[in-house]
Amino acid sequence: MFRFGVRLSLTGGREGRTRLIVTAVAVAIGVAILLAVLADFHAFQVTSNRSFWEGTTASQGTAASAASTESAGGRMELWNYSDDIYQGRTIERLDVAALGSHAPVLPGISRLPGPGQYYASPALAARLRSAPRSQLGDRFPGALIGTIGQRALTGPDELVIFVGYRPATLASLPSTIRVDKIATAAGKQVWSPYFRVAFIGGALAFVLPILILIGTATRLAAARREERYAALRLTGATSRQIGVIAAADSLISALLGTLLGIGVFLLLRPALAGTAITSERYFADQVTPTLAGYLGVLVVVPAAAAVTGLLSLRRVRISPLGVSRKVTPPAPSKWRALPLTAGLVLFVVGLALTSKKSIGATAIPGLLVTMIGLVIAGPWLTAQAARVVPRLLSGAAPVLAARRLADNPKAAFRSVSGLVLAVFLGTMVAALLPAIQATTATPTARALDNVLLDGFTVSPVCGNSVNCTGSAPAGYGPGAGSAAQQRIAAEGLPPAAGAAVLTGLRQIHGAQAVPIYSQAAGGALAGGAGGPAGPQPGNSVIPCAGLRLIGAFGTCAPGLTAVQASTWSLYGDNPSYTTKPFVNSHNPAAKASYSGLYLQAVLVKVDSQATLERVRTFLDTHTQLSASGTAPRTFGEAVQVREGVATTVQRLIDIAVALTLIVAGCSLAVAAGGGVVERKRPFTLLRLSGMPAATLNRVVLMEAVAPLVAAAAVAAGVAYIMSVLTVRKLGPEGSPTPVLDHAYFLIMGAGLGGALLVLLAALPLLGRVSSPANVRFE
Amino acid sequence: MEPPLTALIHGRDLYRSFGQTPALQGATLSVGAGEIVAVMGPSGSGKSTLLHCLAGIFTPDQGEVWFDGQRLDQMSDARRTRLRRTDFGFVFQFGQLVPELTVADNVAIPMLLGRVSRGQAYATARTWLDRVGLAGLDRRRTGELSGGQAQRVALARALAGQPRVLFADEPTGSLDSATGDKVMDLLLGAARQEHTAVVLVTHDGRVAQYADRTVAVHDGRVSEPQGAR
Repeated sequence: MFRFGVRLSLTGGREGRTRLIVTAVAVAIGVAILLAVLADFHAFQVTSNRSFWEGTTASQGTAASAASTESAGGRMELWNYSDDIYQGRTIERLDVAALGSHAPVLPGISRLPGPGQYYASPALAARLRSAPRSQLGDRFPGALIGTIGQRALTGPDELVIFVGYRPATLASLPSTIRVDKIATAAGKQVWSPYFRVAFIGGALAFVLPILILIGTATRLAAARREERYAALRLTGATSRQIGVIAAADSLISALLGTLLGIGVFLLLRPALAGTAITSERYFADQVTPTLAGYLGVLVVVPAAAAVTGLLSLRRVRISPLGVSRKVTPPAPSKWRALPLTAGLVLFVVGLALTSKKSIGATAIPGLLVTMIGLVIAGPWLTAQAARVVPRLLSGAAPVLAARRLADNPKAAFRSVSGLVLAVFLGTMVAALLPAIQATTATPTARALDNVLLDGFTVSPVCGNSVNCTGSAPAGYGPGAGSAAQQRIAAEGLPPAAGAAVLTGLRQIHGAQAVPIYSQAAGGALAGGAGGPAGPQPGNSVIPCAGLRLIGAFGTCAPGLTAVQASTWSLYGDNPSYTTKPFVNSHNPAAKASYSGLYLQAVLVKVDSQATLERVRTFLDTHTQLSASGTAPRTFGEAVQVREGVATTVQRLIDIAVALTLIVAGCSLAVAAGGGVVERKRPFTLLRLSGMPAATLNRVVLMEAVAPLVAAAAVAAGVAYIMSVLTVRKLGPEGSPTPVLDHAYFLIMGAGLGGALLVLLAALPLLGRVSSPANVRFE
Repeated sequence: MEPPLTALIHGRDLYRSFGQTPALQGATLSVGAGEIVAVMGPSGSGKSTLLHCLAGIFTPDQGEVWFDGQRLDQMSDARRTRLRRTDFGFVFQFGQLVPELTVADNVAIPMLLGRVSRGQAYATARTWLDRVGLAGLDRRRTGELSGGQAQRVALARALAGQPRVLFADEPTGSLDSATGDKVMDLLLGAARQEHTAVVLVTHDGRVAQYADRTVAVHDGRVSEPQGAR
């Protein structure tokens, strides 16, 4: 009987073939997108779980500092890990020196680099070859002896370098540690859990429209098939045999669609691997759903389709005389709006309970319940739209459309549910992201795009790794290290070293350096446990000429050549604070003689990207005494790094919204096309009785547009309210109320318009199917 | 009470309503083996409902239906389905063929459902297609046939399984008189040859003349036989 069912599917004449092709194509689109999501999630998982060698810590039982170069049994090495920047991109740099022949080897290379040698990641090696040495190559002493393998990298674009040193040279640098074991555990990146949750949540939320598409596609023209099943029942086919035939029919089209979808995915896979879905590309071989993913899709999709085919038969009674629908489901009640309301309440409570640490995580359950609530409330909204449409519009089309919507609002909403969710997510993104970015990319920060800051004291300990990639070097903790190191940690570079740095900077064409000196001489490391690290308020001396050059940090009172100031705000990780003015006319005057003062930091204004990289190369190679773990960077780069997370989130949601629109548009077209084929007889009779084709077209359009408009308006409204509440709670004081700009309306209009265009493409089918010439039904 | 000994199929005192509308109100009818009975009556009189009850498609609300000494109305759906496949054949006005399948497929379906081998099912189908004058059309899809041809396919399908009763509901209702006569000649010729009983529902007196006996249905009741031929 199964074979008979397969045959019935494959030899179904023109209509049957068309249905098979449309179903297979719709399933293929869903499967290809599903595989793409699985593939990227796999790459994300592999990358997140790779050995985090960067997390290696000093060996147990040895001093954190590396004053001694002795090694127990030759199993140790010296490490000095730091970050650098080139053209706005972070370079992970490890200076390493083996303390014996059995020193542990880093992943991705076969042996440690010797003095004067280095390994670079392929992306950095390419930049080293193309960039002038003064802008990049000079930062790394020695010669490239090979590239770092995939095991040590998160992706093909990552910039990493392992530089070999003599033990004695490396031991003399601050922040060098002794290591006997390289970390192999996965890294604990601050944003990974958020991305993981977002990926899983997004994938699950995204699976819903795909399942709706596959379900709609496999149920395409089901009513017509059911008439055939009735004919088979007349000839003696049992209900069970009809079940097998229906399952075979659904299964064969879903299987063909799945195979086609896998083929499409394999064709698109190189392009997918070449696209940075998060912030960076993954390795191509990791962008795969894995064999288990392929097999899972190959089994689950056809099986789910077969089950859907069987379940759909439960809604009808197929007798030898024909098909009768089981009792019409009762109209959706207003209780369907309850989960949506509950979601909103849960969201508000979650926001009220959120803290700086949880960054709104407590509101996520409310968000998810709201999305589910929208899907549950959709049929009720559709039923309300069905009541309103005939009152607002005149003519036969609104009456016919409203009748159909009222008869089965669940089915009517199902075909637009994906679009409604896309509108919800799109509105959230459009309202929230500009508000998030406004907190970072202040006009002042933008104005300081060409000003680089390099601090030489201990960097503040950041709350996360978003914009504060460095850490307090070993030996610079409170009470640790020599007196000289303690003073460098508190005040910066000693006067002679500072003067040399300033002299060198002034010789770089296109660079203008502004020094910031520490006023206080001597003393313990500022701050201490729990207090702010770095210079204390009022401990800095700044030349007024330099302030005038930069502009954004304020100006001295007239007649002064140098002022005392508090510069602590400069060293934070949020550009909206680091770019605040710290000098005004009330700042007291300071002596304009800077000899004997430690150089706390330097601000360098540059005239071009090339000058910037030359300055950075100079600072990298001439400030080795620096206690700062943070690479010299411009304020623009700091904004860029901080915006990166928001941009990544935006990109992910944009992709989700775009894919949802594609899938939902396909669902809508398939559902509309299927609805037309199923109603061939009544439509033809209506045409026969004089109804113009245009009126029928309007009926089909209204059936899609009415639930879409009703539910999308509610979804957009709810999303906007939630965004406003989020900004009020999590945004800085005085944040403006989010405003949806014209770009939002343009994108949403284009997305929904595109979906309706797909629907319009199905209308010629209506003209053909309902032609009065077809009145002789088979 | 047992049915008359001569009756192959017997419906006694049958009642059947659709919602508030009564269709049968105490209808009784017996059909002997090989007998051809025409059931006549105006539209809405209940003649089709009577046929559907006798064929086990509907279960009566009240009354008994016997087939070959067994209570048809008390059989499970599965047993009634098997009877439709093995002992009954159907020819309706339209809607009984699967348009996506070929002529041969449609005729072979009941046999394939009954697990007859493919070869034998299609050989039998072709034999019957020859008998109803459709030789050479076995690969055509039924959606491409004329009304008369489609009825002949339905007839071939109904008789290919050598049923003991053929139920025909307005088999010529959608055909012109010449084509209708041809279909009736074939139907009754083959039925007599195979000794198949026929329950023929029609409102057309010309068609009823082909029957051995004619009964009339009015308001859900079967009136006295109006005569036998």
